[in-house]
Amino acid sequence: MKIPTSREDWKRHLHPDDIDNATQKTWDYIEGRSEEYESSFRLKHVQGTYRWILSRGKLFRDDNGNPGRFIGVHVDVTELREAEEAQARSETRFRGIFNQTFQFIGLMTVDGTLIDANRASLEAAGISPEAVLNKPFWDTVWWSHSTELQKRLQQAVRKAGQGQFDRFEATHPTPDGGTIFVDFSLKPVTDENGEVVFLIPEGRDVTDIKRFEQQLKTRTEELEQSNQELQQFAYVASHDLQEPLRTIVGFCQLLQMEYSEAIDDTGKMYIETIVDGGKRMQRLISDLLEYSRVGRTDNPREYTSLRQPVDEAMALLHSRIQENDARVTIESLPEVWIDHAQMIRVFQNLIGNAIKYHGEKDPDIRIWCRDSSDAWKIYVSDNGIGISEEFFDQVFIIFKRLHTRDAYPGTGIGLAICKRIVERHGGSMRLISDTNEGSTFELTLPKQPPA
Amino acid sequence: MIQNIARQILLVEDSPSDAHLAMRAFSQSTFASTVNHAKDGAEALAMLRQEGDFHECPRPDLIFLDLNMPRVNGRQVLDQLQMDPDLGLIPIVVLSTSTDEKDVLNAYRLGTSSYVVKPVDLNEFYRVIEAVQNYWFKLCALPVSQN
Repeated sequence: MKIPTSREDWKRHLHPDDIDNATQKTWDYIEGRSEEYESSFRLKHVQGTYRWILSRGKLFRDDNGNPGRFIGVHVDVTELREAEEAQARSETRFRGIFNQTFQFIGLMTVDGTLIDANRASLEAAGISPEAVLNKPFWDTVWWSHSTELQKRLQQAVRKAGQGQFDRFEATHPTPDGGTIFVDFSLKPVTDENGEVVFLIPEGRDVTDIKRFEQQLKTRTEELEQSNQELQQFAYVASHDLQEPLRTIVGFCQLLQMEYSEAIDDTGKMYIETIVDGGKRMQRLISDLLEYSRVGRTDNPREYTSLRQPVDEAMALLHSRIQENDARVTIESLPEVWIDHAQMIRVFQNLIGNAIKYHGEKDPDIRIWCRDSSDAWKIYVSDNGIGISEEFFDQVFIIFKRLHTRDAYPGTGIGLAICKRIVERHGGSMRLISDTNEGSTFELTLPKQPPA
Repeated sequence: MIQNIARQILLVEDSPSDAHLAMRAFSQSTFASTVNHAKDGAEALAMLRQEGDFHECPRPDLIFLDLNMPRVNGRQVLDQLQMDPDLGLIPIVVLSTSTDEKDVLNAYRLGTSSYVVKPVDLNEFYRVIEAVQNYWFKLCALPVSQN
């Protein structure tokens, strides 16, 4: 670098923005206004770029105090300055993140002294930095409300000092007297040798989550209680309803048996209609009761092959299978977590329906399964009269029937019960079918039992 | 010795209409039995213990106890009878509308000898009453009281 030797030369090389300041500093010194001379300015390099120069010097005066010689040093501090600026930028960025995040973050020494805390954490506690910095973290207002939490924090600091991450749930008091729940963690920061040099305390406000959890818990408890009460109600109601029903049906039948000569054919038909209605109602009540009982969770689940309940359902339907010349083909079925008795009911219904709703052909029923990663899909299909697509959802509605009682008997609760049972197992059930080609039901059962 | 002799039956039934239907069933059966009707548990126990007005009430060979769910008045009868060493010998047939496993289990726990579900259809009911009597009076040997 070519050092300017005269004032004019110097000024020519100076960066335009620095001229005033540099000149001022020089004259302040020469004219005695400042004791020392130190100045920073940019000088133009021969290559055309500006370099930062730190200039220091001493003025030698003669015996009369007049300025004589000036001896100085110029140091190229460009890199130093650039490094400082880069660091300042980096610090701005860091501060930006540190203070903008709404999580709580801080910085601690290995012995537990808090040396930095971000804005969010300070605001949450309603305190200024001076109140907490350079103090043991557990003595600060975030922790001092609970000796138990203080101890837990000290334990975490010890662990982190060993290089171990720790995490636990804590509470912090808020300035208005409230409390927030915080998911607190402490991370060690190690240097190149693996020594722990800093600890980073971090907190996430989980108060809302906790509140929702509590609400969910309460709601679930309420639902369970409600379910229990409903079942109890269904039980009481169904039995209380059956008694007068028996009276109606029974006494009508007594009329039929003991007064048949006194009643003409029309009268007999009327009485038969009453009896028939009464018996239907009795079946409805009985089905309703069964539907409500599906909700009971007291039966233990076991891990067994689905083949077992299928076989037992077949045994129960033995005579109907024989009468209708029904053929049932069963492929290998998987092992699942099931309530055995309820599963018998499901297959009894499905196979029973398949037999009942057969068309002109003899019933041909197939049962098979497919692996569906975390669940099993079980299929029951028949070659019966099928169900048209518009009714696919409706068949599962309780008491919904698609045919008249004369065409096909039944209360219409079978599928509703099946669906409820399958759903209580954590699964689902739906219909895939084409009219005239038969029906196929798809049951999805999870491989892992629901919690 | 199994004979078709006249048997004593105690029917414990609090519903008048149900009692009427049951009495018809007994009268229509092939078994010649005398049926005494107790309207509630207290009356049943008095009859069995031959207390007060019932001091001449004959000891039944079989007790039909109607457990009208959910108001189980018949429970005290079962309980009390179980505790009595002599009366406890008399076989009890529980008649109930409930098919619930729990109800069945509880009845047996309380000491019933058999649990029969009451059908709605009267013809069915007649057949049930006939079958039950057939079992207890023809097939089974009944214990004879030592008193």
